[in-house]
Amino acid sequence: MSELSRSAKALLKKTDDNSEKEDKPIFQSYIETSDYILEQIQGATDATSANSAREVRFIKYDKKLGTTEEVEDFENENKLYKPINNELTYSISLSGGVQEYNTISNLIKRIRDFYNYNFQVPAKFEQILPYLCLFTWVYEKFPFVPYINFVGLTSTGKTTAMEVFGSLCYKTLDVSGSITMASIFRTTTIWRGTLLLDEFDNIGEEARQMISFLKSGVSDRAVLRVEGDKVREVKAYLVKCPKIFTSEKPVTDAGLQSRIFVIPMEKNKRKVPLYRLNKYKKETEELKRMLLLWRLRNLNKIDFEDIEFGFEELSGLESRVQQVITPIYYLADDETKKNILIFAQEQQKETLRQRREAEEGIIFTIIYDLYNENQELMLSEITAEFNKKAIPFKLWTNTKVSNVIRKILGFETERVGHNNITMVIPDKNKLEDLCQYYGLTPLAPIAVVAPVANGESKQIKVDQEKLLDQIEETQKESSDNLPF
Amino acid sequence: MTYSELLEECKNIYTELSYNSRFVRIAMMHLLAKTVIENDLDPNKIASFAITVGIEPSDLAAAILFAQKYPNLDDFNHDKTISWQQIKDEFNENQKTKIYPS
Repeated sequence: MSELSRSAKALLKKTDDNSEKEDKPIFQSYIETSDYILEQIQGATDATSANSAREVRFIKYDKKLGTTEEVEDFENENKLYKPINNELTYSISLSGGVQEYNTISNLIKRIRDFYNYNFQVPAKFEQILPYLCLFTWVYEKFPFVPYINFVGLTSTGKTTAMEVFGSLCYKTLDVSGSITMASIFRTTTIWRGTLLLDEFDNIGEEARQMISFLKSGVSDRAVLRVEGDKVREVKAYLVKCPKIFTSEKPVTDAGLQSRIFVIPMEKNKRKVPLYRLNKYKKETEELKRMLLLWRLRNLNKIDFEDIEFGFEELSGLESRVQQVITPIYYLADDETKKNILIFAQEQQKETLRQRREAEEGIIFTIIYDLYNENQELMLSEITAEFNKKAIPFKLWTNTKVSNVIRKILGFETERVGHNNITMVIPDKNKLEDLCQYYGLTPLAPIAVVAPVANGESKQIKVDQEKLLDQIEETQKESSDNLPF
Repeated sequence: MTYSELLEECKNIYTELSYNSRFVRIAMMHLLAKTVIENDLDPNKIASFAITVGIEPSDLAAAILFAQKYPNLDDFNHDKTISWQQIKDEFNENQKTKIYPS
């Protein structure tokens, strides 16, 4: 390449870089500066084609004065920001502006009534759902985003529930019809809104990708993907956002399950609207306007300084359960907080049950039972018991079970006797830790009696009945301390 | 002339003459660049030279690359929708690799 063409190439690149920085507007749906918050809104449209222009604007909120105004674009530090206006704007539901909501309790009541009218909300979620909706409007201020899963058989109204619930959430984006994961990653990164996924399936390659997408989308970490046909490139996506999905069965992946609010749906016992007509649209629009104003006013009031270690009253719960519960607990009123605590305990039980039902959980339960019955922890016996309980597709071998015992549960094994029988060495501290992790009753304390004649000590268990009484008493005491 | 005949006639005029005008610009850029190459312009002076001539430096830079690839303009295959901007983008690596997320 000649010197002249090298210089020409460099010049062309430099000129283009500069013009991009200075002249081209940046398309964004949300901007925050030290003085203002700008949120994209969209007007009603009669457009029938995805190519028709849609009226998009920003609502500009003055942080100091608390006032709002509609603007077409926004200039900050020599950069021009414009709202996103392309075919993607059609896949997302934005507010049309802002509207006064008076008090937060009034807003919550209206959301609750709206949900109750349009689908049959399970009784114990009646109080919680409006706060979950509210949470989606300020989710980016929380370090952890829980998901919502409407579970139920066909015609239990789970899709309706998801659609109605989602219609009031922040920047709702329905990706149920998306064919590829890449499109979901891209749209999520652009909009950072609430994602709706209908009929989530647990099985298959797509499901595996979806599960890893959902798992990484609860926190701020970026997801790296290799993309491109000719030039393969690594790209980073930020997919933290609230996600709402429906499925016939609860998610089986224990890791994902613990990040989810599972809302079981049942057949409607009362009449709910079959069609969502103009009245529905009008009310949705009105509530979304109120919610947007609530977001603008409260976004910067959320402060986690005081609850770095979590809420005191939630400290008895598993850390994962605390992470899931904290966002709505933070926003809820006192009455709802009580409901959330009850719900949290159920969530905790469910998380522990899921753990116990996982393969390593079943193996630990067998070890726990054998230990409690004061029996030897023979590997072959544990394997046989596991195959009986878990009924795996292909029977597990001693080696496979031993791997789980050593590598996952963290126990040592040893070969003893002339027959080289493999035994699991019971480490009491490890056992106690795992009892806590799997939600099993603490182990019966072992009392060491005086050395017997041959100089060895013998371990015997204390009276079982007496122990059970003690446990019952402890549980009663701890439940007396609960705030409800 | 019927309405459809008139429409057809005007479409033809537009296609032909707008192409002519766009191609004249391409030919001008090509000739400018060819002259610059033949006379060994100092590579560090492309930008200032372009400004003095009265054109955008990026236009001259793209034109040089274009003229080096097609020393004879007749070798440049194109259709009647061609424009100078399309050629410029073709030689601009930034434009080619611009993929989301930006």
